Amino acid sequence: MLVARNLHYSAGGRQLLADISLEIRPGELTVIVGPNGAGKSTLFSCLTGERKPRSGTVTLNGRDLRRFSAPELAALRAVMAQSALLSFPFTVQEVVELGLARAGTNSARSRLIAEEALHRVDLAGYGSRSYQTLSGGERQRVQLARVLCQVWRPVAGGGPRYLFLDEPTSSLDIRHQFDVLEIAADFAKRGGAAIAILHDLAIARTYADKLIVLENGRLHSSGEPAITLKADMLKQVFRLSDAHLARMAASISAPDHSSAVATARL
Amino acid sequence: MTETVAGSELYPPKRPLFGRAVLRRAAIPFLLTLLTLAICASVVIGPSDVTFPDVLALLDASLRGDPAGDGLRNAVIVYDIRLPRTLLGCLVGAGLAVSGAMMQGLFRNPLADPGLIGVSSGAALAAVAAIVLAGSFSLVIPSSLRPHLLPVAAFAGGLLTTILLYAVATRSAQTSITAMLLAGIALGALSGAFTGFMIFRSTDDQLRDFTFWSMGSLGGATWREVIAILPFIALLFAALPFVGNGLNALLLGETDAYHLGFDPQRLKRWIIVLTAAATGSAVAAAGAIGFVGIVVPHMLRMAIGPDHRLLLPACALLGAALLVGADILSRTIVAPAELPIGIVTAIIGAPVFLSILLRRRAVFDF
Repeated sequence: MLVARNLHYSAGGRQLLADISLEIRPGELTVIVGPNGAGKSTLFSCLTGERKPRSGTVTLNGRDLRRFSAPELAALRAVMAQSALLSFPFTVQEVVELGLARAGTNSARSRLIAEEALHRVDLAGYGSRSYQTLSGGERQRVQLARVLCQVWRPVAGGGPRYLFLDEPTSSLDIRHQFDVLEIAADFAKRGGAAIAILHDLAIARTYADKLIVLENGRLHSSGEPAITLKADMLKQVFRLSDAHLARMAASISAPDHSSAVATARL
Repeated sequence: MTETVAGSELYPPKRPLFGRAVLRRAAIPFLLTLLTLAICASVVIGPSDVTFPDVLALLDASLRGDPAGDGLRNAVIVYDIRLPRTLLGCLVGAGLAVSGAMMQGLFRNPLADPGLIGVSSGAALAAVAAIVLAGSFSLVIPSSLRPHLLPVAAFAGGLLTTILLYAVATRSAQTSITAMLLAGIALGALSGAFTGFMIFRSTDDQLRDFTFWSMGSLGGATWREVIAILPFIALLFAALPFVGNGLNALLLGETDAYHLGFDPQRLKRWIIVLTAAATGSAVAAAGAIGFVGIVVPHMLRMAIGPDHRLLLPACALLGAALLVGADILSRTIVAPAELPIGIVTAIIGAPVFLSILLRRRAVFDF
């Protein structure tokens, strides 16, 4: 279990996180939501071990995250960051196999795992393409395949593994947004822990087991999405007006507009 | 889904003659053959009339016992002149090419080259300063240490320059290639001026001329130079198996490299020290030879891709072969005089550099 206790983080004289305590449980897909600048990415990077909180602790399986070496952490958790630029002409296959760089997997097995991961993100047959020729959405899915390789089995020797996704759907079409969340939910169902930052509350509501709502660096609320996602919260945290909410409600009840997104909303 | 953004990539996809997998398998055997040929040619070709049959006869004589008469003269030419010169070319070429590839990985930019960004000129300045100062304080330094003074000083100069460049070009984990190249120009000009000044002021007979320090030369190579730079280049080679994976991960960015299980800070420190050691010792032995570190990795990346586990050893082989080949040209084109080898590498290298810019101006912009 990944546990944060009383996290504080500040940078450039600004308090970015204040007194955040939470638990990430294996078997759950935890989604972090909040308006721009709420501290989602800062919290995320404290949980991955990339940033050290000013005070407070993050423990993984009861052990302080700061005491893990980079290879130890890499065996337990994989992180998909927001953007990945590559200025060198790697093939898709090579990028995905980077996920296994620390695993000591032999090359035949690496290729197999990478191909399977590419298949999983709907990019089967893309292995020999140059990463630089892909569209933004395709690149995002290649990066997802890479982090999937790193924690291919949700539960391995060291116990459950953690899959961190920072806005994994930002460049994706609607179909692939669902695919990515299916992958994360499936990872959790098979015993791993998945943590994602999302902006689309409808998708968050559909897939999340637990929602963490941040507001100005503070934990506003957390819990099941059905309980957390209320009109009061949207008004307060996301500063939606009654008119916004009415428009959202209208788009749901409109007879000719029956997309999955709309029905999932509220 | 299949459309690509025009001109957005550095190496536009072309239909290759051979697939990358084939090229990757063939790379090391092919380059080994190429290097062997270059070494043979370099031992056989020269202004004196020692030819291939003479070399064979010499080898035969050496194996059976001491050569005599005509063989003795040939032995001096082959063993004491051509062989050390060829081996020095191999070590310097391999060291420069591998350093170039490592720096390009570290800066995540195919234009980062120890010669272009001023590391070589920083090393040259330190080497010249060491010679001049050692002349003034000759009593302080025991004579047994003098052969090592030059490479160590050049290493220190290269290291300081690299650290300074990295500090100037990197702000909050982002390396600005523009800042790096501009700082490199400034540092290069500064150390060029100081080097020129020191050479101008120096009356030391040992001090080789400005051409040597700015264009490089393998002329006058002896076993002493070979042995002096061997430990530095050997250190670089010994590190290759340990940095390949890390450099691959680093191409994704420092954060991603950390998440993949590598310590980017430690990796960066190692790469800076290793490249400074190799570049510095190469400059101490053969002057500042440009463009090897940019041409060799660039050509190989087009053929076999950027995977450093294969790229770095391949760079060592091709770098060695290229420099030995360039040296053959430099001492035969205007024989019996010699062209500075930097002229030959610049003629090959500058067009490659320009072609990188033509293909993607954006390498400047991030």
